[in-house]
Order: sequence, then structure tokens, then C-alpha cells
Amino acid sequence: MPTLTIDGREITVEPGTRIIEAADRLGIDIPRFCYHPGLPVAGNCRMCLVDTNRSPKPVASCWDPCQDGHVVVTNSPRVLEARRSVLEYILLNHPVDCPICDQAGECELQDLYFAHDHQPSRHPFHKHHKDKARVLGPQIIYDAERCINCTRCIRVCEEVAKAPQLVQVQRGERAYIDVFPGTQLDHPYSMCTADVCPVGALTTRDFRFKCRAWLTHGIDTVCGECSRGCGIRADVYRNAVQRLVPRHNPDVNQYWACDAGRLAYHRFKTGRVSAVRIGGAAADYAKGVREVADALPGAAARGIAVVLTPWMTCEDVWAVVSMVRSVEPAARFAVGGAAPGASDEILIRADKNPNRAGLAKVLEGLGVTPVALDEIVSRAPSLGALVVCGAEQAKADALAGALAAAPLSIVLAVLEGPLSAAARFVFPSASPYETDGTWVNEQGVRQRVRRAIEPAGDVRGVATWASDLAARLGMPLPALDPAIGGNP
Amino acid sequence: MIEKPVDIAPEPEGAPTQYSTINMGPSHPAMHGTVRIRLTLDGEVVKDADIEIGFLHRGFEKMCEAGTWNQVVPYTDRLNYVSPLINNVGYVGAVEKLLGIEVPLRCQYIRVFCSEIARIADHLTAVGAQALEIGAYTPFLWAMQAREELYFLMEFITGARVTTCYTRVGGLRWDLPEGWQDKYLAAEKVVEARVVDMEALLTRNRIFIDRMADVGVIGPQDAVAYGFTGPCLRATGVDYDVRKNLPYLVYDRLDFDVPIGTKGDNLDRYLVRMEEIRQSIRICRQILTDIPEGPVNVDDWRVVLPPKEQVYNTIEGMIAHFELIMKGTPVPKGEAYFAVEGGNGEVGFYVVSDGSGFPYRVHCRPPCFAIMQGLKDMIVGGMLADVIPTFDGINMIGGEIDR
Repeated sequence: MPTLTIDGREITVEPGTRIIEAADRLGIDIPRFCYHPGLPVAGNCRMCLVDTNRSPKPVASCWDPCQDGHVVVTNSPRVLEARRSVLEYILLNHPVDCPICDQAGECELQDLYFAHDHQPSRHPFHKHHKDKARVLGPQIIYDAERCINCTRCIRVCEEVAKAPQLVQVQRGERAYIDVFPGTQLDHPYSMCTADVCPVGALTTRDFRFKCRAWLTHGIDTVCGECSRGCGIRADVYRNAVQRLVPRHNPDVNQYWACDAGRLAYHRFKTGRVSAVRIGGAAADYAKGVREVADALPGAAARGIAVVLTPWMTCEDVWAVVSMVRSVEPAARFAVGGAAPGASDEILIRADKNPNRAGLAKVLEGLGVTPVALDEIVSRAPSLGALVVCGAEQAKADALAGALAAAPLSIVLAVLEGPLSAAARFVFPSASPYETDGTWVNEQGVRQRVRRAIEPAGDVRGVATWASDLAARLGMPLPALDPAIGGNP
Repeated sequence: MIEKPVDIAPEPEGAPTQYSTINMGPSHPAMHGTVRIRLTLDGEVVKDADIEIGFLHRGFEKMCEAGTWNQVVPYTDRLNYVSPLINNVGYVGAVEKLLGIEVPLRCQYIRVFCSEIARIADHLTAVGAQALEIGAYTPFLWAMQAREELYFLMEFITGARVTTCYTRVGGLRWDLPEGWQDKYLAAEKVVEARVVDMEALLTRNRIFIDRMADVGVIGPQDAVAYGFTGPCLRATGVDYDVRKNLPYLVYDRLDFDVPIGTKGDNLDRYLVRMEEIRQSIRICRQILTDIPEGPVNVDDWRVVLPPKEQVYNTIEGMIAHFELIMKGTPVPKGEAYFAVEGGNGEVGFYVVSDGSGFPYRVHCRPPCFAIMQGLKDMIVGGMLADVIPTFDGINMIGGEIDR
């Protein structure tokens, strides 16, 4: 276990730890471009140079391992001068693009120049010109002039996505990043290359020229596109999600997220159920709740069945089950959900439902044994009422038939579809970006989903709808037992 | 209620009299600034005064936390709005103290020059209005005429009469414009002439002296205990002036006297202010000859915006401009207090930085907040008619006291 000193502060680290990692642990800031904690070390930008007692010249702290007795100085005049020189070199051919660059405001080059160089240009000549908008793949556009050739993107493709699609071509100041001829950057994690890009060289089509970075405010939430539950940050401007970016979570997704998950928010922009409908006619939310509350107790005699879906939050599941059981203690519950899809060994899981584990946990806590979905479908005509939470169902056609056959049919739907067309009562439901709650991923990690945008019109979360209904029925719901689910 | 002649005879036993209560302000034509004084009167004698401030509270200090360090400067215009340039100088002085930078010598001279013309405008307002309160209407108009010349000068220099917003962290918005000396001398001519005229009408005027002398008296110990500063403190005989006692900018290179009074009454406050106008003119005259050539801004792109041709044509200038506008000057973690001599006394700014480009906390020490504490002592026992001239003599500024 080597013990070393950085700027006069002592630290003991595991063998093989790089100096920059030890400095990060001490909270000592060493500027860097090519180093990324989630990627192998390249050591090519030279921004992280530090002085040590083991070398006559400054060394790259991202590359040099900590040794016993190392004395590292991160702010000697020589190091400061080296940083200045590196930045001056990087900026030699950098275009004056900040006003039109999507990265401006969250650009590492801007911040490091301002912190460590802050002197005028000494470069009186013309700058090199390169490709300004080279299409590398379906999601990524490349600006070669802005590129500082840190190769983080290449390493993301190789090490994270296991798809070595990018390569550095040419040398020196003519170097740029490209795909191999006849191929494109199209692996499922291609947008991560834009995340790690310290400048605005790689931009996503999704966010390109859409919104200035400083106008957005980020909401930390969880991706709902599969059971992995990657941490994401929803960047919001004017009550609309502008982009989703991965959030560091060492237990779940490290620094990464797949393209499909990051583009998922587009699904909830159009085709939304926006108003309450009763028998096909638009109605007031209060009227809808009132009519359902009037009809439910009468239906209880013939039995109530509820289809739950594993994208509902733990709180949603708990509220619906508690509300229905207060009307009919012997109500039946089945679990529906989205159909399985593609998967890989990295982050993408076949189960496209984010909260299957949480749903099972809440049902277990409430003492509910779910019945098979087919059983409910086949019994629909003899039931008193059928409630389907969520219109995105693998067995949508069968459920639509069951809803049409049930005497009292209720759907809580985010999107229009066969189910919202078949049910008598249709309530607009909140998308994952409009709701607060808890999801439990496939590993059993309990994570908080946060409301990023305010829902429009009569859109309500499932739990809100259930508690409104319970209040109307005169049976207000008790608080959720944290032992069952919900936020710690 | 029976009117009771206070000076003539003691009140007969059992006379059916009672105290009356009247409200002066918060909105009253004779009140300078939005403040309420609830007076308890025995006839025309003030028995008690309950002074209530806070009617002009805008949340200045909280607002300051929402912008970058430089975006606070316009807010400081709205503190003492009669001498906004002094507030501009005081605020950036505090931030520069925290940054550990010293602005160029020319900038220091310009800041002193601006402070002194603002001080003259402030004092002219105070003495003119004070004369007005006791019936001398003409000196008030003369004072306003002279002040107007100074406002023209401020507009010429800064682009605005009152909302000057002239200083920046690390320097000034721009250098003094071409021809500023002539403009100043023209304004000075009017000011000097009007000061002479006012003195001729007031200083030896029997009516004026009768109304001012021995009215609104406060002693030096009380004044110090309350935290008085500025002309109100000096009128009591305490020789304290931030420009002399804690010299800042180039005041230690300039030759000027600090007038002090003896009794701490309204007349002393009037005389101190009149003499300070003359001393300020003396300072400005020295600056006219002493001011060096050179830059007005520090040469550091982390503090001062780069020139526009660098911003539009080089990536270095572009980044510096972007970072300064969007994220602000990074001010080292810590706190600083910096005080200047304002029109009414010590204007102090206490700033706290968390290391970012936005202030963590900005606090202003307004001189008239402390002085207002002593107002009750100064008016209780006096006549109702003396409340207004005394209140005017301390020159309370609502924008500064309530913030």
C-alpha cells in the first residue's frame, strides 16, 4: 500500500492507483481532458501534468501510478506554466464557435482555459479548417475543427460498447476522428461518445441546436426503458424534457446509458391521452372520479379485477391495491406489462419494465398473490369491473377484448391505443417524467423517480387517481409503509 | 383638547388635558423618505416618538445573490440614490479586496473624483432641503440648480444622471470621456456660486440660526454609542472620516480638511456639510492636475471583459467573455468588509464568497440606519415644528436604510 504526499497532504492508496485518482480522493483538482474515470488511460492531452520527486520533468498524473514516498506537487510554477502551454496549443486551431456550439456553458475547454490560461492569443495566422458537420452515425455528428483529439470517444466504443467503430486518422494537428470506410457509428451506446466529449466536437442529433445548455435545469431520475434502471438526468427547459443524459451510479450503470433509453422521452410527446373520457365523450376529471366511485361498490358483488403493470411506481401499486381492496377485499390482481425485447451483456435488459421487482415486493407486503393475466381476460364478462393500469401492454388486443366485455371497464393510459379505445372510463396517466415515486431494478436497487415536468391538463399519477377515488369513496388511504416499498 | 402654552405657565392641577398622537408619514409631503414617526405630543412639544422604518424594503441583499458579482453594481445605485457613485465605488472595493487586486492608479483617481462630485450633490440636497423645511425656499432652488449641473456631469461621464452603474470589479465601465475637465469646471463654477449665494442667505440669517441652533442636539458620546458616522458625527465634534482614518484609493495623496462641529445641533450639521462641499471641490481640483494617464481596468481576463475585437476574432477572448458573462468572475472563498465615506457617513459592504462567480452574501452597512436610532433622542423634548428640519438634517435615505 503506497503512501504518498500530494500538495503536502498524505494519502495511502491501493497499488496501481494513478496519481490523479488519489488527488481526486483528496479533493485536489487536477485539470484533465483525456482522462475519464470510467475509461482506460490514454495520457495524450498532457493537461494533468504534475511535478514529482521521482522525475526531472513533469509527469502525466493520469498515467503515473502512485509509489511509496512519492511527493507530488500540483501547483508549482512549472506545472502552471505547462498547463498554460497545453491550453495555448489546444486552442491554436480551435474555431471561434462558442456562440453556435452546443457545448458552450458545459464545455471543459472553456472552463479550463478560463481557470488556467486566461491570456490573449499569440497566434496571428489562419487556423486549420476541417469538416464542420460530419455525420458519423444515426445519432452523432462530428465537428473536426472543435475536436481536441483526446480519444475518449474511441475508448467508449472499444471499452464500454465493445464495438470498436471509431478511429483516429491523420497525425498531429491534422488528426481527426472518423469511422472506418463504409461503416457508421451505430452501436447502442453511441450517444455516450457525445457525453464524454470534453468539447463540442461530438454532438447528438437529439440535442443539436435545440436548446442552450445553461437554460436547462437537470432533474435526477431513473430511466424506465428496461429493468436495469440506469440513472439519468432529465434536462428540462420550458416544461419540456430537452434531453436525457446518464448520471453516474456505480451500482447500476457506471457513467453510461443506451441510446434507446435516452431517446425514450420522445414517445411521450405525442399520442397522449389528455382528458378524461366516459363512454368516448370527454369529461371533467372530478366527474370521472365521481362516476367511478358511484359504480365501483355495485360492481364489487360480481368481483373486481385489476391489471397492474411493472412500470407503475411502488407507491402507485400500493395505492391502487389498497383502494380496490377497500371496496372489494377479494379483488383479483394480475401483472401485465410491456413485451420483452432486445438485450445485451452491458446495460440493456430484455424485460422492458422498470419496476417488476418493486411491484412484486409491494404485492408481497400487502399479502396479494397475483393471478394469471389470461384468467382475468377469460373471466372478464362475468366480472363486475376491470381496471387496467397502463395502456402499453404486451397482450393489448386480448385486454382490449376483455375491457369491451366487462360491464365496468376503466383504463389509466399514458398513450392512446386499443385499450383506451375499448374502455368505458379512460383516465389520462402521467409519463415517467411526470411522476414521483420509487422503482426497484432487477438487482434490487431501490431508486427514486422524480417529476421533471408538470403534467398538462387532467393528467394525474396513478397513485393520485387512486387516492382521489378512495377519498371520494370515504376511505382515505393510510401512509405507505416504508417496509413494503417507497422512498426511504 | 385644551391648548397648553408650555413656556408660560405650569399646567393647573387637574386640568382636563391629554396627550395627542399624530402620525408623520410614511407618506407625507414633509417626510423625506418613506418612514413613519408616531409622535406623542403635549401641545406642540414632542413627548415621545416611535420611529418605524422598513417601508422601502426591496430585498437588495437577497437580490444580489441571484446575479454575478458585477450584476450587483446596478443595485447599489438604488441604495443612497442621491450619491450612487459612492455606493458603486464601495461595493466593487469590497469585491476587489476579496479578489486581492488593486485597480490602476488612473481608475483610483477617477473613483475618488466621482465620489466627491456625488458627495457635493448629496450635501447640496441635504442643506437645500433643510432650508426649505424652515421656510427658505430660494436656497433650495439654488441647491437644486447646482445639483442639476452635477447630474449633467454624471450623465456625461456615466451615461445616466442617477442610475450611474459606473464601476466594475477590476475597474470602470469606461474611462472619463473627452472634455470631462471643462464639463467639471463649468459645473464647479455654478456650484461655487450657488454655495456662496446660499451662505449669504442662510449662514448669518437670524431666523435661520434661531430655528437651527440648539435644535436636534446629540452629544458625541451618544452619537458614537449609536454608531453615528459622517457629517452627523462630525457635527458633534468627533473627528472621524473614513477617508482620513481608513484611507482608501488615493485619499492619502490628496490634501483636504475634515470640518468638525461643537454642539451636534442642526446648525452644526449644516455648517459641516457646507464646508465639506468646499473641501470636495478642493479634492476635485487636485485630481484635475494629478490624475495620471493609463488604463482604467486591471489586465486580467478573469476579472475584466476582453476587448471586443479579441472576443469576435480569437477563441481565447471569446471563451473569457463567455465565462465572465455566464459564470461570473470567480472570487476566492472568503469574506471581506470594505468601507467608504458616503454622503451620510460610513457606507460599508460586507461580501462573502463561496468561490463561485455569484455572491454568496452581500450585506450593506448603511450610515443612516445607525443615525436613525438617534433620531428619537434628537426630537423628543423639542417642538413639533422642529421634527422635520431635524429629520432632514440627518438626511435619511429610504433606499439605503431599508435596502
